Order: sequence, then C-alpha cells, then structure tokens
Amino acid sequence: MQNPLLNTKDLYLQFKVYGGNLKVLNGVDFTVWPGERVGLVGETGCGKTTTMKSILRVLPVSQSKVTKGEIIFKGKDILKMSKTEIQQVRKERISMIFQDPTASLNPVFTIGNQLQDVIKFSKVSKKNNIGNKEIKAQAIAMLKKVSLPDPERMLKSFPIQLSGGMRQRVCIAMALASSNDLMIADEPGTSLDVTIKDQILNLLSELVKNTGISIILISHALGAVRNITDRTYVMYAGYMVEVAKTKELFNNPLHPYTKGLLNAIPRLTGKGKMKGISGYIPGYLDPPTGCRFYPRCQDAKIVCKKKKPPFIKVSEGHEVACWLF
Amino acid sequence: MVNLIIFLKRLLYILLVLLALSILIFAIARVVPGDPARAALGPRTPEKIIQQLREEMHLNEPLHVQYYYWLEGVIRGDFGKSLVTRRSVHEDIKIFFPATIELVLFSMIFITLVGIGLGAVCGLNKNTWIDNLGRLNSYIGVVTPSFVFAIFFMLIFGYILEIVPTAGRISAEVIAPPKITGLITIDALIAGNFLAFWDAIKHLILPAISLGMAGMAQVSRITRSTMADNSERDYIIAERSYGIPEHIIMYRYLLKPSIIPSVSILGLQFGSLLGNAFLVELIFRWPGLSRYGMNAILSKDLNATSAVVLIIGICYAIANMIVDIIVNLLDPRIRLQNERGE
Amino acid sequence: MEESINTQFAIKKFDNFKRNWYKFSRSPLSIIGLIMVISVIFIAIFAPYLSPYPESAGNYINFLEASQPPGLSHLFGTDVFGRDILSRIFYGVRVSLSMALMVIVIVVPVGGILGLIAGYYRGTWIENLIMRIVDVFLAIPPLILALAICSVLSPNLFNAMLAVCLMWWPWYTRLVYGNVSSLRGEFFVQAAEISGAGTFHILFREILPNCLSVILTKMTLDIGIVILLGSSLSFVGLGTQPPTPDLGTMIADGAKYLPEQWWIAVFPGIAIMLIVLAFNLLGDGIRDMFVVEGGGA
Repeated sequence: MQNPLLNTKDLYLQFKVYGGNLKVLNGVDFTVWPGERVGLVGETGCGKTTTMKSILRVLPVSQSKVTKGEIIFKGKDILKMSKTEIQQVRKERISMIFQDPTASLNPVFTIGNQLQDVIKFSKVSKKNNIGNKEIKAQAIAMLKKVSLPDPERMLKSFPIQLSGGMRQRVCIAMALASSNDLMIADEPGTSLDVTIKDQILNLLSELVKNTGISIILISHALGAVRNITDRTYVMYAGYMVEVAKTKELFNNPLHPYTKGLLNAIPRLTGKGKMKGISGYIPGYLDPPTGCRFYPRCQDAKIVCKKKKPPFIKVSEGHEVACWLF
Repeated sequence: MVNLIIFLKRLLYILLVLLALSILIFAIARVVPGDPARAALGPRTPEKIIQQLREEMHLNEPLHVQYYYWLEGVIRGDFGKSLVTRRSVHEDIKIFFPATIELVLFSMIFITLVGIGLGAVCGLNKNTWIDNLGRLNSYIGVVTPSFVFAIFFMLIFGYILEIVPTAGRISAEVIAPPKITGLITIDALIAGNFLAFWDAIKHLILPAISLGMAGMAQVSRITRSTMADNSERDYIIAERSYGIPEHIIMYRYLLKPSIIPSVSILGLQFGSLLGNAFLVELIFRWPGLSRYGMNAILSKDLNATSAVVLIIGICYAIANMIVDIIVNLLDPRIRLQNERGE
Repeated sequence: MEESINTQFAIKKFDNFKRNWYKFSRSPLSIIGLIMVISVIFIAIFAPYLSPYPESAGNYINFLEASQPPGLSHLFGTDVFGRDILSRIFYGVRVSLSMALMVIVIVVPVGGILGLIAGYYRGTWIENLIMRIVDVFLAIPPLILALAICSVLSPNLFNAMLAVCLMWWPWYTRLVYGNVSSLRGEFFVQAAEISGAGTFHILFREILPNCLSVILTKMTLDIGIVILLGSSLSFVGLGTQPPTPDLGTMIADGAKYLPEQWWIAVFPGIAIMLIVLAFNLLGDGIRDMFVVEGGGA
C-alpha cells in the first residue's frame, strides 16, 4: 500500500477580522495519492482555495491561524516546516495555478523574465549551476509543453499582449517548472470561454499522464471534474462532506448536499425543471455547531444539529460525513 | 516608429499650450492700467520722448500686431528691458536661471530618493513603528508650507547647531569655479575644485530640503500605499508559491510596479517646485529666477514677469514630457495603450 | 400615510448618519481632526473675545512692550511694535479661514458644474473646449498664475482670493469630469435617459450624488491647501495688507528678526501647521467614511 502524497488531517483554520474570527476551515480531511487526479468541488466561499493556500503556506500570517490539525506531505508536516524547508517544497514539489491568469502575472515584467526567474530559482541550486542560456532553453521547452506557439516571441511579450487562454497556459508552464510532485489547479479556465476552458483541462490531463505528477482540480462545477478526475471530494462550509471515485460519485451520490448539487445541473434529457438548494452557506463568524449543512438539509435529524459528523465509510473508497449513514 | 509619431503629437500639443500661455501672459500684461513706455522711462521724461518710445514699442498699433511683435522678440530671446534692474531681461535670466535650476534639481533628487525610499520601506513594513514614523513624516510634510520649514531648519541647523550656512550659494571665502553651466556644483566638479563643490552643497542642503519636504511627503505617501496594495496582489502570491525567494519578490517584482504612480506625479512636482522656489529663495537669500520673477511681479515689471512665467511654463512642459517618457518605459501597459492610440 | 413616509425617510437618513459616524469614529485621528477643526472655527469666530489683547490686531503701537519673548503676560511674545503675537494669531486664523471658505464656496460649484457638463457631453465640442481650457490652466504652476494675477490687480485680500479661485477651479473640473465620464456609461444613467428624464435631472439627481463623496473629501482636504496657498501669497506681500494680521505676513515680517526674536515667525508657522493638519485629518476621516467595506471570502 503506497503512502499518500498529501494528507490533511482534521485541519482547523480561522481568519481574524474586525468583529471576531472567521472559522473558515472546520476539520478538513483530504488525501492525494501519487499520480492521481483529484477533484475538489464546492460552492464559492466553502474554503477550497483557503485549504490549498494553507498547504502552500501563502496565507497572510498576521490574519490567519491554524488552530488544529496537520498537513502531511511526503511524510513531513508542512505546518511545522522551517522557512527554508517550505521554500524548498514550493520551489520543487508543489505549485498552484490560480483562478485568474491575468491577476497572476506581474504586468510590468515580460513573460520571459518571470518564467526564467521561476526556472532559475526552482532548478538552480548550489549543486547544479545552470547558465542563463540553459535557463532560456528550458523556458522555451516549458512553453512548448503547454502548446504555446512561437515561444521565442512569447518570452519577450508582456502579459497584457496575450489572450486569456495564453496567459493561463503561461501560468501552467510556470507551475510545471516549480513542481515535480503536485500541481493544484484552482478553477482553471473559469474566466475563459468554454472551448478554451476545455482545451486547458485536456492539457492538464495530458500533462498528468506524461509526467506522473498528481493534480488537484478545484471547481465549483461538477461537470468540469467529471471527465478529468479519478476521485472527487465534495466540500461544504469548511470541511469535506463526501469523497468517492468520480464515476461512483456521479452515479451514486450519498450526502444530501451532493445530491442537491447534482440535481441542480440542468439536463438535456429527462424531466424538465432544475432544482436548487434552498438557503445560503452559513456565515463563518458564528457557524452552526454540529453539521454545518443542517439548516438547509431536508433529511436532518436532531443529532445533526448537535454533533459534527465524521467521515463514515459506506463502500470501498466512498465516504460520507453525514449522520444519515 | 509609432513612438516617434506619438512623441511628435505630444510636442505639438505642448507647443499649443505654450502658445496659449503666451497669449494669456500678453493679455494680462496689456490689461494692466498704465503706460508701459512711461513706466520704462520714468515720470519726468518729456512727452515727446515717451511718444517716440511708444512708436518703437508698437504701442499704438492694434493688439494682435503688438502680440506678433512681442512673440517675435520672445522667439529671438529678446524680452525687452527690465524695469527693476535696467538690464535686458535676457541678461538677467542668464544670471538667475541656473541658480534656481540647481536648487530645484537638488530638491527633485531629495524628493525622488527619499520619497520613494521612505515610501517603499513603510509599505513593506506596514503598521510597524517604522511605518508609523513614516506616516507622521508625511503628514508633517503635507501640512507645513515650505517657508515654515525653511525657517525651522534655518533656526535649528543654521543658528542653533551651526552645521550649515544660512544664506547665499557659496561662502565669501571660497573661490567660485569658472562658469560653464551656471550650476556651481557641476562647475566645481568639472574644474576639480572639491572645496567649492562641498561648500556649494552645504549651501544647497537647507533650501533644497525645505523646498522639497511637501513633495517628498506626497511621493512617500503614494509609494507606501501603492506598495501596500500591490503586496497583496495575486501575482505576488503566485510568485511566492512558485518558490521565488522573498527578497527577489520585494526588491524586484513588488518595487517596479509600485513606483509607477509616484514617478508620474514627479512632473507635477517639478513644476510646483519651480513655482514655489521663490518662497525659499527669499528666506535663504538665494539669487534665483523665482525671486527675480517675484520682484518683477511686485514692481509690475512686465517684461521680466512675462519672461519668467514663460520660461517656467516651458520648463514645466519639458519636465512633464520627460516624466511621460519614463513612465512609458516603466509600464508596458501604458506604452502599449499609447501605441494602440487609446 | 404621507406623514409616515416622511418619518420613515427621516429615520433612514438618521440611520445612514449613524452608520457613517460609526465608520468615521473608528479612527482616533479623525476624531482628533474633527475636534481641532471645531476649535479652529471657534477661534476664528470668537477671535475678538478670545484674544487677550484684541487691540493688537489693529494699528497698535506700544514700544514699552515691544520685542518681548514668550512669557506670562504675553504667551507668545510680542513683535517689534509691541503687539501681542497670540492675539494676532487668533485674528490671523480668522482671515485665513474666511478666505479659504470663500474660495471653496466659489470654486467647488463652478468647477464642479463645468466638470459635470464636460463629463456628460463626452465626445462633443463642449467637452473639448472645457477640458482644453482646464489643461492650459493646469499647465501653469499654480502659484505663478496667482502671483501674476495678484500683481496686475492691487494687492488685497479680495484679489488674493480671486487669484486662488482662478488657480484652483480646474482641479475640481478634472475630478468631477473623471468621475462623471466613468459613471456616464453606467446602467442607471442609461435607464434614466430611456425613461425620458431631462438632462438637468440626470445631471443633478442621478450623477451628481454619486460624485459627492469624492467632492466632499477633496473639499475638506483643499481647505488646508488653500490656506497654504493663501499664506504663501501673503508671505510675499500679495494678500492682506498691514495692519490686518495674517499668518503668512507675520512669518514674512518675523523672518527679518531671526534668530534673536524667533517667536515672531515661529508661532505663526506652528499655527499654520496645526490648522492645515486639522483639516487634513478631518478630510482623511471623511474619505474613510465613504470607503465601502470589502468583504473577505
């Protein structure tokens, strides 16, 4: 049995704001295996990006605090790593592609500048001193890998000169350059039109196949992760509520929230109207105790209000955080 | 190629503005009640001679003709005679202009280096004691007029502590270098006369800093807030997550986009320095153009006044143009927008 | 029915006010600014009653008391004529403040309306004309313009005010112009246009209220700047004439007697600093009041 690549255990995180603490992450349990494509689905504001940012430790230290839990990466706890160690992880092991490619690129520097810097600081260490020519060659190779045309000219361009799709590919190239184990893609292609988004997702899939890297694909739309991932987590209000092999999740959703999400997808065939889920996500300043989905759940029981449900194994690889099981 | 056309367009625009300025000045000058010819010659001169001068000065012709003659003279560099100094205004300008330029130049250096430096340090260390000190400094700089600074500095550093001299450009004992540019510091360096150079610098410090405090406060304020805003941007977080070391992020990727707004107001700063220089020139008895112009204005010396206003207007326009070019170089977004003609 | 609507409206306005006050009062500096500004206004209004030696504001000469350093009988000392500096400062505050207020009262409406028109009629000759004039005025360093105007007319308070007005209005036009241009394309404007609202209504009832926050902030900060400009002008001798006390003039006079009789120049200088600081703090507070709290997600 392999060891998991990444494992978040019971992670609690809060943000300090004027007026109190936002208890954003409420016991996140999340596992990724080597070479796996994992999907993470949830509404905007449920804590997906925050979880990822805490894995990389790029949350502002003054405002965020992990109150409980561990993040084990390749056997070591990320939260306990020293600054140099986490820097190493960022340089070579894990990287993240952000939602908005336009905002992720520094507008006053060329693509070449930024990409080459990433390569320089990721690959160059005291051991292997790569010269500038070699760095440039690697940059061009990266750009080719993400299917960008005319890499030479691309290096001299500024982000503002590229289209959205191209910018997203550049971000992917930079992420590739600084990660060998895990790539986190935060809603890639959300701000792009559907055909481009499709291309990007396929590109990511190809990369995983070719390089053996693991990928976490975050999305707020179930449809996006359907064809691309092996396993999918569903997240709600700060913790995972269900996890299963993707096919299994779509065919046999267990948690009321997951069911609600799937029902909300408009269908071309079958009976007409879509059904939404009534209510809103809870505020994080004073969230409900117990199961956070309780106020919106149609099948709620008394115990749901009092205690937060742990992950209950229903079948092989399929777990639900719900008292109904 | 495209840049050249835009440059020329800008140039044309500036010329038009300067033309309008000259018309404005001319109009004001002619609106003044009183007879310029009589004012030039004095109240006791007989009427016939005054009439002669009026003919010479084209004062009896219609306004637009007068304007034409005036403009022609200006282009040749002839502004006429100054009422106050009785010399040609051209001469006066050659004497006083370099002094003001030197003062303003040093002030600009102060504003740019200290303003951006202080702002950057504060922006990177947000909400620490360094930042609070910097903000206090900004506040004081903004609310205090330059002449009040001049007086305070002169009192403290000139009289109480006696570190620096309080008047003039150079001490009486020091031999001034031969005049090449008119800027004593540069002339001294060219001549290799380090004593004069150092002495000139000592004379420059208080006036330059007094003049520049307000501008420095503004620049540091803007730099600080831009830096603080940018430090939370997505691209900075992204760069951090790619593993780029923190010091590279701060001194390169954060600094460059943050100084752009400050640089773009440097042109305005230059203009206001030129305009406000006389306040400081008065107190430190600096023989500069601003002081000369101010005297001219108070004595209703129209030739001198128009000359000074025009020259300052030109300098202002040139400074703005230079700043535009620099901003274009720094920020590709603006450069490309301009190329597309937006 | 009507009455209850009115009371509802009044309650809503009061609520708005309470909310704005809460935001404003979050920063202690803003409160300090408010207190300082109120003090300054108080001093300006009640100068004759607050001054220990009100006759110092006029043609008073008393060589027995002349050139006294700060002491018990004269808190800030006396000048060469024997006039009490503290009293003169109080009267000087009056002069500075009244000039600043009058300038603002003229410049804001005029500049603002011009900016409103220019921004609304974007792309037409009206906009071009107005904005080109603005450009020319802005191309001239402000103080030079003020000096030129002041010199042509005789130096007195009114003309100094006029000069400052002429120098200052373009900034408001530009500010409002920028605001209006961006609001121009917003949906609520188009909606009003489609529903047949007249231009006047659109300009003053739809667009203008949205610009008010920027205008109000700038106005408060500007009072400080105008006071600085005014004192610079009078420093040079172009403002109020003696014997009317004016902070700038006092500094100019006092500069001659440095360093021995430093109090003649230093205290008016501090006074200017404090007044401008007061309005700056208040202005910052007002600006903070209009900042919409961004939500974190």
